[in-house]
Amino acid sequence: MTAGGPFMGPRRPVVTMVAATLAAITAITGPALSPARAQTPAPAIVREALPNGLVAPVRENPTAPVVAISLMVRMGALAETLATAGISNFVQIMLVRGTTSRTGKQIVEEVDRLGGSIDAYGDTDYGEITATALSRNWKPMLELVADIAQRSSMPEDTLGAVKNFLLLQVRNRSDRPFDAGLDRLLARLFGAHPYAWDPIGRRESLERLDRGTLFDCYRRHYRGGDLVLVVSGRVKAAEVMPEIRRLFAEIPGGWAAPFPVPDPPTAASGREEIRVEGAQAQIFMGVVGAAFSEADHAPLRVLATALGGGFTSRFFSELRDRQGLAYTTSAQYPMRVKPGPFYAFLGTAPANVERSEAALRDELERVRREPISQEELRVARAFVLGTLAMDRRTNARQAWHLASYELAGLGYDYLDRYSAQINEVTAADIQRVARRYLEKIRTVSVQPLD
Amino acid sequence: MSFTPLAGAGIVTLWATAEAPDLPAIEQAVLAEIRRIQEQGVTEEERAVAVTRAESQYAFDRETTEGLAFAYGIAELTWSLDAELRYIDSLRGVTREQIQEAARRWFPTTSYARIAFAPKKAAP
Repeated sequence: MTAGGPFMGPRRPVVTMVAATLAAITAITGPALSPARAQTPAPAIVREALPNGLVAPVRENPTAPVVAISLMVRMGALAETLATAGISNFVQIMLVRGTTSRTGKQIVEEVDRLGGSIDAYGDTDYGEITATALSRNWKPMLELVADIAQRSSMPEDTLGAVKNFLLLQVRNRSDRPFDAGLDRLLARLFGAHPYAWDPIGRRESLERLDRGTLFDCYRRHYRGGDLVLVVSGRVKAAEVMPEIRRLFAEIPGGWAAPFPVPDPPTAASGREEIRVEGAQAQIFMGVVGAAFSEADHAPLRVLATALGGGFTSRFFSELRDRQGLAYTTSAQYPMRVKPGPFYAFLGTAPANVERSEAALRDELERVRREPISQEELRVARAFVLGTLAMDRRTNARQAWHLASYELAGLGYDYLDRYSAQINEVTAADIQRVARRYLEKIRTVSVQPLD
Repeated sequence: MSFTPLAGAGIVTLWATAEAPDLPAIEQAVLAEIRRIQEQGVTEEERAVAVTRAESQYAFDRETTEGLAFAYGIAELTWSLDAELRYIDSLRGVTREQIQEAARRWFPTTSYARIAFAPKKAAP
């Protein structure tokens, strides 16, 4: 990953009305439910880059007396190695356990007084501190987020408990058939590439992490050029922006050193079985897809939706409803900064494993062999855009989306372009990406212990 | 802890997840806290935080058009839209004395339903 570039430059406030996006949402979801809301002006977004590199879009949304804050940092599993797997999530969790001026208990009590919530976690491509509050309390909540982000104390007395909690989560994943199957598939697809492991990390790496290592990671990544701060809610950007400048001015400028990311192994077909306690069998078939900034992302997204994205998708209608093979089935294609996983999943009775696996494979081959129908294309495109709109109903999710695209260097208005790309996907595009990406498929079959 | 208002009477529920052997101690701690409120009431800070929390939940439940439509629908069905719109104001006016009285009237420490799901060997 190349650090920095897009976020640096002179301070430049930008005001943009995102009416185009809202028009698209209205077209999908129908008119707003109440006349009062129909007259509400489209939220305005004001964006500013601080001298230290931190980028701060503020979204004014007057519809409810609430506010959401997302401070996103460029770290996550993508910045880890096999030896440090899980360190981003560990660091993030420790941030809300105490600062140099607040204990963890005081943080919780203060959040209660503000009528809000606060959490921090590490994900695959990023870490996030996420907070909500009644909008009248936006200022103290922003101050709390700034304190947590800049003055973590990583309290030694809670570090052991957090580590044990994380190790328990790792163990639980290996006991759950779905998680165990997915983890094995990702390990085979990605090898030493960081997408091979869950952001929780690995037992071997977590056990070795100590306070000093966590502090080093924290200091390395919490730099202005690697941070995006989004505030969304019933606030005035003209009031919020000066507070952001004041509260986040002390964050060191620049970026963390670029972290080299190894390439995934060369694509290869393969099949393996694992056994985990449970009553149901799980079948995973996966490949490495495209990064979400690549042109193939939109057709792959529509392909995943046509295959396993809703009640009318092929997996659901053919494998579940018509053939009765699946309890659950879907196709997943999570948005990733680097080329990420594209996989099909099917849960079935152990007696049906062989037939289900063959049927799932047939569906993946059929979509390469012949184009999907125009009706399937229309439904799949509408489903992608509709679920995207539904996912952005709250300020917290709006803040997450804006921060994600800013951090990836695509700009907070990326969704406007993305929506257009989805609407332009053709049946021929889908067949093209199916032929390109679904050629060599890895299969993992999870079956109950005898 | 949650309170589900119904058209008739509501249900107050408290739940906890814990190691099975700790269940009796947790139950006693909850009862002791209820008795404390019945006898001593709550502090002004506790009252203010509780009102803010309730106000916050109310606001976030209605943040989306879906949430707002659900709230208005329930209001029309079980009480009134007017009462729904005045709910937050009435909440803000709740006094410490009213909280103490509610604890005495509605939270009997000798009459309540208790359900525990625990491993067979550890059931208290």
